[in-house]
Amino acid sequence: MFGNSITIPHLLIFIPVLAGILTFFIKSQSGSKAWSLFAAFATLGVSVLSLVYSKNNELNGLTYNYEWLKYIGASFSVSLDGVGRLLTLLTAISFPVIFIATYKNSYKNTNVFMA
Amino acid sequence: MLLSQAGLMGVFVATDALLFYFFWELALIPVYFLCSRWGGERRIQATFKFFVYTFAGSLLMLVGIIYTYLHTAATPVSDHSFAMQAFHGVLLNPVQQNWMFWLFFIAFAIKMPVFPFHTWQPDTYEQSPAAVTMVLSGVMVKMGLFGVIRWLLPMFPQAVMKFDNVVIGLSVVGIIYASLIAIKQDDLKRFAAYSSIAHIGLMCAAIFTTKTIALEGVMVQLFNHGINIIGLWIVIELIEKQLGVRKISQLGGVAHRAPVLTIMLVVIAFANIALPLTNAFIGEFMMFAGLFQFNIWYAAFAGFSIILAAVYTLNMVQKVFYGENNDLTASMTDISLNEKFILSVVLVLIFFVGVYPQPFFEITKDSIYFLLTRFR
Repeated sequence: MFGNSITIPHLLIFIPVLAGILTFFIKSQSGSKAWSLFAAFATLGVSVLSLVYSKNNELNGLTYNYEWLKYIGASFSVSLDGVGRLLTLLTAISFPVIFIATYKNSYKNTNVFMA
Repeated sequence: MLLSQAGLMGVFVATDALLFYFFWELALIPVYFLCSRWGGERRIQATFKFFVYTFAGSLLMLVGIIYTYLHTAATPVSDHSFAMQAFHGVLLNPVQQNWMFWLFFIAFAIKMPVFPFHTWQPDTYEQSPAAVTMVLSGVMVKMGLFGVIRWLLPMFPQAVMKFDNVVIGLSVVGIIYASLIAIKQDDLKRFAAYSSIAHIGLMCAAIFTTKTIALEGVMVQLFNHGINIIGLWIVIELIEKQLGVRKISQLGGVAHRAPVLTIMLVVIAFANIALPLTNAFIGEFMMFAGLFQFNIWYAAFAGFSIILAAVYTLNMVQKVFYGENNDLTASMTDISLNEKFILSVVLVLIFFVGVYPQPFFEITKDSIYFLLTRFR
């Protein structure tokens, strides 16, 4: 399912980034909350998938390295090892729980808050 | 909120020091805006304090990253490298290691936070919107502990072994200090903040023992602390939303009006004091075992925190939930279906990990093995 181009760490980072950027454009309070909750659940799904990958020892989808600024030796290098997997799982579980627990709270400019 | 989640995910998966720093800031910057714009009455002062502390920590870490980078080996295309392997293999003399150790450690210690770098936390938790407080205490404080495990320990093992007593000593002082303040707290948010400082202090002390059993305990406790503290914040938020107050002295007898909320809180409170069959038990047991192996006196003093945790937690439960109703709490109603559902999720996680923590040890065992090879 995942190759060298899109990996689980990519999805864990970019689903919230893209969802956050899109949330800026959802002006309705309920719409921005529902969209953020959906994005948080999508991230949780990917995090759970990372556990299945690790069980099957398919490390191909768990690491990625791209030479970002190669002349200074910096790269977009991401990997999900054991500690990382546990803490990304905690992050992925926490956000939907927090969003549901505070769903009835109202904020000024909800879309900016949720983004 | 979502951008902060992306930053957190990035911190936990980055294997390049520059990328790690980038995500570290990406996780923190949205929180400044969330606190300063949507926080409580004293949000500006609290955010300023939070900003000064964390920004100072970030700058120290940046200096450390640049200095360490300049001592990494050359690669085929660059003179140095930000890669994690290059940082883990960096060759620094003992004096250089000592300096770098403190630059990185202070940055991580502020974020955890451990004594004496903790003073931003109660104010920030008190003044932040509930959702932000939950993210800060449930997940974001783990960035500091994670930084120590992923970066600090493998990079500077000699300095870690030189300063382990200093760090464990500070952590143990912090555990007892925060527990004693939690006993005297009248504000539920500040109570939860000091309780969290005590628990994080124990995790920090356990990490610096560099004992296998302690690190295994820390790994599982990183997850469990997040779940328990978020559960506690949800209950505090529900009380404040209904009654408009969070002063312990103004509450009482909530159990008469909200029995389901009380049952949920009592389970979370039991997890907070690490009773058997709750998730925190196994992690704390293993951390204390590691501390015991390292130094029996540290274990004894830190072990005192178990008694203190029971005192401050049960004292809070007694004062808020039991006794007679007052005019304020007489108007309280029990939690809604939505609120029951979300607290049930927290309770399921508490009991699941409490009864069957093995999958969590399986996930992290390779990371611990790799980490400890640096200390053999």
